[in-house]
Amino acid sequence: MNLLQAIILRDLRIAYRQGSSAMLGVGFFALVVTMVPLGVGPERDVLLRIAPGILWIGAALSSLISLDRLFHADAEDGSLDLLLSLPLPLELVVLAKTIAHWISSILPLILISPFLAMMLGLPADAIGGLAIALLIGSPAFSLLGAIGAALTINTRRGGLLLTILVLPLYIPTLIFGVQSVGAGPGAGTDAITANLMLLTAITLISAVLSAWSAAAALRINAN
Amino acid sequence: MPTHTISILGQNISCIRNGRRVLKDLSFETHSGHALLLMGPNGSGKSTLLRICAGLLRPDAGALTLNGEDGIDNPGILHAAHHYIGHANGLKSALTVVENLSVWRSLFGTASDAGLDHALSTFGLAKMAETPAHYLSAGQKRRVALSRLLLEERSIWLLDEPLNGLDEKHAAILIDCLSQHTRSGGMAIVATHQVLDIPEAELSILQLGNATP
Repeated sequence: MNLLQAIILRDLRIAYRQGSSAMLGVGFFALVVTMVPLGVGPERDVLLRIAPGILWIGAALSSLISLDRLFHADAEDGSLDLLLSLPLPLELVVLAKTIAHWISSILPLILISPFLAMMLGLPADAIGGLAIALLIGSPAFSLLGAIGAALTINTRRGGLLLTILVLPLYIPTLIFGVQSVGAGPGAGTDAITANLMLLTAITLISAVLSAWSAAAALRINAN
Repeated sequence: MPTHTISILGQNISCIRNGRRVLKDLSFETHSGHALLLMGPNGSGKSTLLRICAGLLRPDAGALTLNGEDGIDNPGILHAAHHYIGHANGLKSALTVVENLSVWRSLFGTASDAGLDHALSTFGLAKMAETPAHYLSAGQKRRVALSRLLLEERSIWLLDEPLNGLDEKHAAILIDCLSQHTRSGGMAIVATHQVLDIPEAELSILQLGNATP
């Protein structure tokens, strides 16, 4: 447990020092969301209908920005060898790094999402729903992304390949995430709850899937 | 005859990298108080052998045991016993020297502040403790990486060309550390291009040639 904590703190400290990954993601997120009203026009009805989708897609794309460095940076500077030699199952090492990624790169996105939602004219209750849905659903972005990051660790320009590998895996989260914001016409509390539960299920499944497969990919690639 | 508290035995190790046979039927033995120097031309498999001993790479054939226990299917026993310093230093360039060391310390789960200070002062890093690793020269980075050896006592040191980038003064300090380490019952496997004269250590050289394909 201590070791798990040590890895998380290590990655958070590095992310904080570099500062760029979180800020890049936040800036990208804000820009993508801001550009949509410019592209589709300022009609309130249209924006209201597409706002949850835009915010979720924006969050998904922004979370990809820092993912390719998740294991690649450690492989490059040799510290991956150290992580592979820890008296801790590699699955847990992966999980710890993923948690650190979520805190450093995705949590800031969730924090600014209410402001962006307001800008798109989302009503107050839907803004709360969005934040909750993002909190529950977005860990799947880090988790599924870790699989792609581990697979592309030795690939030059792995970032692009990572995007293509990982984005299709984001689709279920995206679908239920957008549904659970509840801005759609006639969306009742029951429907929102059901969607949030499905979102939770996807995140939990991703956690198991990610730890195993990313660890396996790392073992193969580290050789 | 001295009693050997720890020993590594490699038998008929073969390893194929990228379709090329790097190591072929290699056998070696090393134990407490012993320093094994791996020598040979570039590409002769020195680093590969070190990574196998570190439990980071699985050989294609052969056996490797630590105190008689199999280390190939159970690399955890190797991991817990060694410090491996490869040709990459494992430094995080955004962190300062002392932060890098304390990250390692937290990963090792031991070592006191005194251990950290000792590691810093031995390799002459005290002055640059608060400097981000990014601004260090190649030799200074190497010294930070080597100071990891002193953070926690481990009986096996696996060093991949540790002298790379070191000036004479710090090369002497490293050799001094190696001498102390072997004298106190540790062992070292060092890939190197020059014969290291480690005082009071039992020295032997394993010459690696280009294995025939």
